[in-house]
Amino acid sequence: MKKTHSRTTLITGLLALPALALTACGGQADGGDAESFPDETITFITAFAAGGANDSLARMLAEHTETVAEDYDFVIENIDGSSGSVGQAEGAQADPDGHTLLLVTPSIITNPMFNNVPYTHESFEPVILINSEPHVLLVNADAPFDDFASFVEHAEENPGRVSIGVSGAETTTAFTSRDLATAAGIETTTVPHDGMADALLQAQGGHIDGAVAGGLTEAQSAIDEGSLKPILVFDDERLEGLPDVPTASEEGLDTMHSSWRGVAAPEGTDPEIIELCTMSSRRRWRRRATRRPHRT
Amino acid sequence: MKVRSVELIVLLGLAAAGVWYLVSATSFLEAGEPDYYLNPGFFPTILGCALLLFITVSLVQTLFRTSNREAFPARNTRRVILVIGLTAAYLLLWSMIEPLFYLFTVLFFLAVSLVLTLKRGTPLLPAIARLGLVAVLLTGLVYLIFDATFGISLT
Amino acid sequence: MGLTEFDVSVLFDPLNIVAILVGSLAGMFFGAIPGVGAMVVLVLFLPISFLLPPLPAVLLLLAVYQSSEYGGSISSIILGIPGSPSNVATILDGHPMAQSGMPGKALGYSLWASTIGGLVGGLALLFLAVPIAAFAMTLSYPEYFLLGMLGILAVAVISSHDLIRSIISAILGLMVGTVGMDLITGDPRFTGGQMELYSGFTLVAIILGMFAFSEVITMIRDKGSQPAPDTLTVKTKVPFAELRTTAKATTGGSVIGSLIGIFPGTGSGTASWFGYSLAKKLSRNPDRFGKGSPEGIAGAESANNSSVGGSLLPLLTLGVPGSPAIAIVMGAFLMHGIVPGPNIFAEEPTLTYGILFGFLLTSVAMFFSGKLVTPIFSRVLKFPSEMLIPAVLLISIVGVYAANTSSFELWVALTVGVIAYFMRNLGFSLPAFVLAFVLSGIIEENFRRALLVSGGDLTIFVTRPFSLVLVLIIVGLVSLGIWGKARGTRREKILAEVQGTDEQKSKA
Repeated sequence: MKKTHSRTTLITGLLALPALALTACGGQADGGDAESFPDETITFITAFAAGGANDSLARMLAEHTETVAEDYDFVIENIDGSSGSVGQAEGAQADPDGHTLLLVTPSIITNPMFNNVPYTHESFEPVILINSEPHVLLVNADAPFDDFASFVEHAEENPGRVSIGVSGAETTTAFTSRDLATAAGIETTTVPHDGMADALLQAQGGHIDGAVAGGLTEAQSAIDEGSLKPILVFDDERLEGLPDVPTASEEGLDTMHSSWRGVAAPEGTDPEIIELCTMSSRRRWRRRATRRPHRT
Repeated sequence: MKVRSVELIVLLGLAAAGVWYLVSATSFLEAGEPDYYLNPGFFPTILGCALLLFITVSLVQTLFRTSNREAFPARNTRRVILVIGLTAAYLLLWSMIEPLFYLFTVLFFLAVSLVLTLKRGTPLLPAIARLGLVAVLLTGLVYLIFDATFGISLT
Repeated sequence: MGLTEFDVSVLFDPLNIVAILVGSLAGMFFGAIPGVGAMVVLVLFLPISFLLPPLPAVLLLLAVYQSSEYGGSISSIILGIPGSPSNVATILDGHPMAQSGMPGKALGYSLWASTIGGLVGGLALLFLAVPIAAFAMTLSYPEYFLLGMLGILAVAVISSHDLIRSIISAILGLMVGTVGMDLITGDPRFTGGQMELYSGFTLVAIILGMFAFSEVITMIRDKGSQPAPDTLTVKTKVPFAELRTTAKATTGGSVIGSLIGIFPGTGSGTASWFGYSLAKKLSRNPDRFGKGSPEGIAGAESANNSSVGGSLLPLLTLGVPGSPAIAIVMGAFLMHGIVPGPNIFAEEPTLTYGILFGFLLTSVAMFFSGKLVTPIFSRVLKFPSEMLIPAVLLISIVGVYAANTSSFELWVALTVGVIAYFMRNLGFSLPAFVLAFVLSGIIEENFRRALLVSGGDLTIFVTRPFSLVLVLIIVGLVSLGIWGKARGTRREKILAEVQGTDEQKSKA
């Protein structure tokens, strides 16, 4: 069966994971205490509830790593709570010996900004960025505007009456929506939802005028179906999957935003281990990605 | 204690909690957003007022009711308090010394079941042997289900 | 490819059948453990599903989901501790029936109702997917808000004899639900600076605290005054004639459950209450409700299982998971490179129709594994109480911990349990509290979102057709309720004076 663009992206993204985990646990680490690494079970913290998208990624990662490299033993620890801050605090305070890793999202930056938490994004050493997708502005297909210019025009005529759905109150998509209003000099209403799917559904039903999606992948099915229309990509390069949709920089706006996922270690982890992890995971990633099985 | 006294204590306790809640909610109202529906204190303020209203109604009902003059059902009170105390001790020990979870679990089960079995004059040793065996078996089951199957580490 | 052209024999591939059977047995067995809900079991099976081809993978997870909804009713009936919020309504009649010496029969009623509910939900999914999905698209914030209010109203009115205290319980549930970060503005509320509370109290801690811990206290208090365990019948067989008396309740519950299932977020918890209230409205013996009525069990259990089918609908047609458990099933789709959504019927017809038909099979498998597993569980009550009580206590504690690996929640559960013990003995309604807690976010957020979109204009609730219908239903129910109460009070007073003393005893 044929594959749509989004599927391929997703699979590539998912398949990259095992490689990361494999190297994150230090396949060929050397020097100092890295010699014997890993000498115990590696705890991989997911700061989100069991069953969500992030958790599934973490579990896949552990699953594959254990099959590929028998020496390694992973324990996924779901430390849910407070939009990830409980688990992130745990990760930041763990022993920086490479035996505790954390799946990170932009929330490690936003949580310390808005809540009183015992860490900042600088409490972590980045190991690798798994994927990053620019945000996309979508509008209902029946909305009285077809492109970004007419969207701005409509918003100027109806200040505050254009509603944009976002995934939550202090999520990156909410910042994108507000940033867009400031940059374009318009007044819109940002409507936070309980997750992106909910926001997209309301935009599809025409109950709100549009939505900022945290990437093309999650909006793809609504675009294919024709109920939502992408009108702006928050990046300076057009997306392969949306060649006709202008970018923010083409429209003269300085608003670039993306969603990303990555793996991080606590601050103070031996830079050599991290370096090795990053280097070899890239290599692994390419090799695995080309051997992608085509399961239909 | 009479049912009515317990009812009054619980209702007044809830009212006190409601007042605290309402005070916190109104502090959001003053500090927060100008649009009422955006304000984080808007919905809680409605709830707080509604709670206090209905508690007042219930208090009046309670005072005039005749069927609540009997004693509040309280049997085995000492056992109940002992078990709650043991549970609290178990939770405390577990959170302090995590690796000993399975040991604490066996002891906790044994202690609770002994509290429920023992009367004055029952021979202690046979009871400990019997319930101790069940305790070990059950702890093993907990390990099998949660640790071995679900992969949730309890230690 | 259309519905009729599907080659059903694809389903009877041995791998599909094994997946369904294993899923059913495991879902039921683990679902029966207090605190271990559909979510936990699904997470356990997710990695296994990665190893299978797409169709058996999805069927495995659906079988797990379907039968853990029934599994949750096992502990509701036997111990009075709900496996998940969707089984709270089952306690009202299932537990009294079990205590009166017929735990097996209570489970039998529940199993029949669950199976029929599951089948009806599956059929609704099969034939009505497209029109219902189109209808679901027209629903928005005002409708969600009003449906949540209706749910609370349904439970507050029926779950306790003291209406005012039921309402107080519901308000308390809503209040506890507001603890944590405000989802509209992001402000932390009522957290007392506790980081663990930023995302609010968790459902497992509240439910197990309310029901498990307070039930344990009750069991200790009543130790020595309960019927001898030898008198219990564990047989799950229910004679056909008796089963027929629950036909109306089961039908009503199944239909309403499938409908409620399509509202993402409200899910099976609300569905079971609507099913229960509907069963009571339809019943010829509404007085038996709350004292072990088979119709009460049938109404609640058929509704929560039929909502499983309903909650698959938004996933398959819109790509939106209708419940957190379905979100895990969605994970299995994505893992196989299939993006659920409107195009899935056209792009993956064999898979999609395989899932729809396979879903019916999961209900059948649930029935047979239920026959197998249930007698084991109904024997639990035969254990001497000095072993049963600490075992229930211990498993509940581990269950709370396992849900979030947080010891903070254990203290929450213990505290809630002690408070709940007093509340349940004083005519407060624990079910009303729990459902209000579950729906708190939906009610508050959608109310505020509706006003955010309308710019503060309250007429949004009466200018939309379906929203207006819901408003009228709510107004109608409330005025009927007040009228009925006013008429009934005088009669009740006389009755209360006659049996006042008896009632106090039986309540204790």
